[in-house]
Parts: sequence; C-alpha cells; structure tokens
Amino acid sequence: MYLLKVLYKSIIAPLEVFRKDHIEGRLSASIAIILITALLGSIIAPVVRFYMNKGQYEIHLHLDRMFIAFFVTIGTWLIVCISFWLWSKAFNKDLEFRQVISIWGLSYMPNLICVILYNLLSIAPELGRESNILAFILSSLFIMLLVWKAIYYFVFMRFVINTTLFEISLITMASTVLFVILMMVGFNVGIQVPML
Amino acid sequence: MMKIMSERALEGLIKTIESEVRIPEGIEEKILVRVFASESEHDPYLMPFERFVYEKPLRIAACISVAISGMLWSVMGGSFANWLIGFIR
Repeated sequence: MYLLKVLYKSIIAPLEVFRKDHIEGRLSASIAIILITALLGSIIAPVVRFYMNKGQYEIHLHLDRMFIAFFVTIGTWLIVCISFWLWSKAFNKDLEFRQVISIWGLSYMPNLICVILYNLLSIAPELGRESNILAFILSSLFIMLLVWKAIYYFVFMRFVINTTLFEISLITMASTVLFVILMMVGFNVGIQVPML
Repeated sequence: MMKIMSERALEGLIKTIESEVRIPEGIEEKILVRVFASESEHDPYLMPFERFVYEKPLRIAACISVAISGMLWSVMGGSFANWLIGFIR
C-alpha cells in the first residue's frame, strides 16, 4: 500500500517524496520501478518481439545477452547513484547512500513509460507511419518523457542533494560525461532506451 | 540598600515601556524568507516559477513537449514525427 502511494506521489507530487526524511515504502517503490523497467526492457520485450515476429523473420532469442542487459540496467542505476552520493560527499551534504538509491529510483518512471512506448513501436511500427496525428502524439510523448526526466534530475539536485548553482553546474557537466559513457555501454549490450 | 527612583527616571521608564517598537523596513520579509528557507526540509520555500515547474512536473513537461513538437511541425512539416520516431528507433 505504501509502495503504491509513493509511486503515485512520485508522479503527481514528486516534492512530497523527493526529500531527505524517511518515507515508508520509498526504497521498495524505487527498487520495484528499477526491476520492472529492467525486466521489461531487457527480458520481456525481446521475448514478446520474438513471438510476434517468429513466423515473419528468422530471429533468435539470445538469453545471455538479455541477462547481461538486465544486469547492466541495474548496474547503471547503481553507478549513477554512487556518483550522486560521491558528489554529495564532495560538497559536504548530509546524505546517505540509502537515501540516494531510494529517491533516484523513483525518477525511472519516465524510463519505464519510454521502454513501453519504444517496444510498442518495435512491435507495431505502423503506429508511427500510418497517421500523422498519431506520429505527432508519439513524438510529443517521447519529448515529454525526456523533459520529465530532466525535471526529476533538477528536483533531485535542488531538494535532495541541496546544491547551489555552481555545484549543480559542476555536477551536471561531469554527469553528462558519465551518462554518455553509460549510454554507450548500454547500447553495446542491446539496451535501446537509456537507463540512467 | 534600596534606592528610590526619582520621578523623572520613573516617567522615562514608563515612556520607554509604552513606546512602539518599529522594525526597520524589509527586515520582517527577510526573516520570513530565512525561516521558510531553513524549513525547506519539510516544506521547501519555492519561487512561483519553481512551484510551477517542480510541484507538477508532468504539466510543464507536457507544455514544453507540445511547444517543441509544434515548432518542429511548423519547420519540418508532417514528416518531423516520422523522422523523430525513426531516430528513436
């Protein structure tokens, strides 16, 4: 029950859950979003794609690659959390690692929806081709998810790490490099939607 | 030994007690802002723009995405959506 409440608040009113104090069920909600996103993107989606296209093309299921993608997804989340936690330590902010993982995981909601949309387009590519209006809506949704994720990032910096303008600029510049590296690693193991 | 206060000193004291305390202009607002900021752990003090962006991020994200899509649509025409989806895929 707490878990659903936290998930709901992370979408509707993120300021109520993106805060340092302890919130019941936040860590579980965070881990649940990460696991669902990772499972959906790296294991469930390829299986669905395989069964949808089995008769049309010669395709194979690479179980080893699917599990590598799953663990890389979890790994990138942990690396990003570790980097944020180290930044908070560098700027003498009173923040525990547990707080970072329980809050940053909530920002994976746009990633989760993006994975669903992306795989929907992979399974039914005609969605983006047949109707201009539908293609417009889908494109707007992708841009919206990107902006939504960026807002989560700034909320995290402003209200969790409690950064100044200088600190956030520095963290953002350094994080951009890290994010690009993690995205490239992700693409190499077959993760199409960046999991940061 | 107890000292007896003169009439003039007593009058001065009463006047001091009755005199109105005036806070210098702007101090009251500054104190309020500081109090709000220090309580930011529980109820963060937000500027109106921050409130608009952070309180309901989905709303601003939707506004921005529609604005960007509309702008791209006007520049590239109907093909932009297909281009964007193709780029994502």
